[in-house]
Amino acid sequence: MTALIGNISLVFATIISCYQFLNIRNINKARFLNPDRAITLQFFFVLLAFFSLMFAYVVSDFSILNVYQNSHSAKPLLYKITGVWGNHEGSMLLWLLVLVFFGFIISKFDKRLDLPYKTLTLSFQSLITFIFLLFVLLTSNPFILISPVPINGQDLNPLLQDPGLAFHPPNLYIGYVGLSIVFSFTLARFYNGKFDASWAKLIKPWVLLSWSFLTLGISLGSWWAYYELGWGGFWFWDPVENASLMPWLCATALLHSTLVLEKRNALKKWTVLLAFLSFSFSLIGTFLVRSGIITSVHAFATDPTRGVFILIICAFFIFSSLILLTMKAKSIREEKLVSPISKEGAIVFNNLLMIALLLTVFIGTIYPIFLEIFTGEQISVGPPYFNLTTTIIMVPAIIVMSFAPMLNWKKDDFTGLLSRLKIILFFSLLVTFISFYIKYQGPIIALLGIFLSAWLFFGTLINFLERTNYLKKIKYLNNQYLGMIIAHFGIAIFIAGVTGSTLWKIEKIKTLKVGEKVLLNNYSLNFDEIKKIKGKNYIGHEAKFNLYKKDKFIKTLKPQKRFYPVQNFPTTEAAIYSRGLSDLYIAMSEPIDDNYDSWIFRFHFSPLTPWIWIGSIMAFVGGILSFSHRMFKIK
Amino acid sequence: MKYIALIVITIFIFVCFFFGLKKEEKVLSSPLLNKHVPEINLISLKNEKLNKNDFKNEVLLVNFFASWCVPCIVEHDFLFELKKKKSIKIYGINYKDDVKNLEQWLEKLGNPYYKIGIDSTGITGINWGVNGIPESFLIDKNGIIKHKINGVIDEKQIKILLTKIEELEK
Repeated sequence: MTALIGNISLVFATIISCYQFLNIRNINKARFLNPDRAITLQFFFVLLAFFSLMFAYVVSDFSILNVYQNSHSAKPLLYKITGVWGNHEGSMLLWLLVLVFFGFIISKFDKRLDLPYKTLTLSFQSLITFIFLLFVLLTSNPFILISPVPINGQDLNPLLQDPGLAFHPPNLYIGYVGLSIVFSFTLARFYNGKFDASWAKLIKPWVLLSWSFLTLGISLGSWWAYYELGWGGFWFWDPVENASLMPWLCATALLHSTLVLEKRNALKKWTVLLAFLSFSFSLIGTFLVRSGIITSVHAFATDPTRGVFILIICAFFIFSSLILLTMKAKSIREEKLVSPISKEGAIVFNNLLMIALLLTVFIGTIYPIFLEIFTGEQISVGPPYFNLTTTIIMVPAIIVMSFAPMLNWKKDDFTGLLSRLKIILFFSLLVTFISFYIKYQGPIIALLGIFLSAWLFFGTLINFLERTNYLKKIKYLNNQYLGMIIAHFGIAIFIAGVTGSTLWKIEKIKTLKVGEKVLLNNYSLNFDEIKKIKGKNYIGHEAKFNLYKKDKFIKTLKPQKRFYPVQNFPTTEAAIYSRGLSDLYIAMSEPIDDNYDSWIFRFHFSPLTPWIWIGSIMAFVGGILSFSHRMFKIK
Repeated sequence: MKYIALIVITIFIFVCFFFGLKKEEKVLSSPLLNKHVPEINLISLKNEKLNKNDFKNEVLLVNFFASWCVPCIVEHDFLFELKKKKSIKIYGINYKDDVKNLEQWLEKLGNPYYKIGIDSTGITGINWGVNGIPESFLIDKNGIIKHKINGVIDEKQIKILLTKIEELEK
């Protein structure tokens, strides 16, 4: 019954989305299935299908293959619910839900659109929905039945049995799929209106919203890997991580180029291209993750027909948008940008750097595919390539980012700026020297990281102080400006976090017996006890460490090693002592004797790591503040 | 012109993606191949001992299965078919199962096994490197693993098994 409701809902949603696209030119509001109603019905039916699947998971209905493969009756309720999107089919349904939800909120809440433009936009959104619904129905149907009905399920991958799964994918999908609405807005503009400041104003809030949720989704994933999965780092340049970083970089460039379009009526074609590319990279990311073309820790079950189908979807949207742009490029007239020393000059400079970074990440990610096709050799491109190229590109980008908001539009000269730059330089060097004094043992490049972080921080601070007339006019600030300031501060803090976490990290791998201790950066960790533990669907061991600093007791830390019998899978639950300025991290590796008395442990002391998440959250909050201003204040 | 170049590059990338998809599925071969059978120490369904010494002197098949495993039901008929075509001892290792369910299951579907070892903890499964059931191992007269099948033994697998068994019996 559940499966039937799910299937029928999906079929109805498919028919309605197809109908809406076919009626792309029909702006007769009086007809029964007008765009608003069609979009609402699509949303309703996909929501119904989604809840049907969730219901099947909650009541452990193993007659549905997807539930059988990814759930188990002994699983806690939270993981039954999150298990819905812990697999390919279910996560595609979530993807669809976000897709129709965006159409729905545009139709209901974006009052800035006139009827013909709104109809066009919603029709293009329906086309995307239609194609993804076909994909789900034909290759990834979550409602396939099995007979005979198994007594119990095969359970969800234990790595995914974590609260992280509740938050990370939905946020990431809001970001990914939010870019689809920007894509639809852009396609619709080719047939209605011009690419001018008013168009930039229309898409800006949706770019901001997608960008903010991409930021949040990526950092939640990174936080999850670090705190819960015991991977001992926050970013691994894994292809799937790169797949989420690429649309983020593109959206970052788009965010700033719309600003130039809005204020200076320039960069039109470039902005259109970025709007297309942002969603295209979302699609390419989906292809890379789900087709099995690259090997990654985030393995989804793969199936070659699925891969070909997604590739066709990608090709369809990417080529049709590029061909449209090629054909219409001549009719788009731009204002010339005159001076490189101006706000728009700085934005163009950073836009180019973002795209350069995007391309290096893209090349690094797909290079193994090319090499395998042409030579048959299998390699993976690792952190050394990515760390080097990212650093080289990000250094000039951060330097410009610090003072760009202080520049004037059209034309500026450096005389006014120079005195402020001197102050920024003075304070940044001061911070760098202080950190060198406190932490002299790290590599020299760490000081560059700290300098850049301080440079961006003080640049943003001076801008803020001047704009508010040294805090006297703080009441008059609008949320858009405040959002920019908070996001830029967030990036500064993030850079410091990354620097400390990667370059000042101290790592020790030691074998310890109960009663032994290890010393780590002024801390002493005493291994006092090991005991067996038993959870609802796992068994395992828990170690007890007492943490002392200079003989003063601080805290007890309890890392765990779990084993999930149904899945035959071990997981590591790291124990972390976080103080805001640094993290102390213990992960259990393997026992080395049969009595389970001696274990191999990994210890990390990573300074400033919490700042990575603080900075990311600030960037998210900044983006949302700007979004709210754009959406509700500017008409 | 710029846009045409962009489209050409994109076409090139997509063609590469397409061929990338076509590459052969990488088959994971078991590290146990051509090695002696791993440790095994189980009590059978009829309360007999089952250990390494059972797997000697003749070519035989060891099949990991469970009553809760749906593909195992599909495989069950093929095990009977295999026995019809070739008289070979099939040892079942019942993986993480409930003995009551197992007995009911065998009553309903029949029993193609010579002996069934009860691996309720899954330890034997770990020793044998079982990823998911069903999985089967073909063992020669000297107790050496010669072939491994991941997943269901079907028509195609029976043909492969028959030729392998004949080779080993020579």
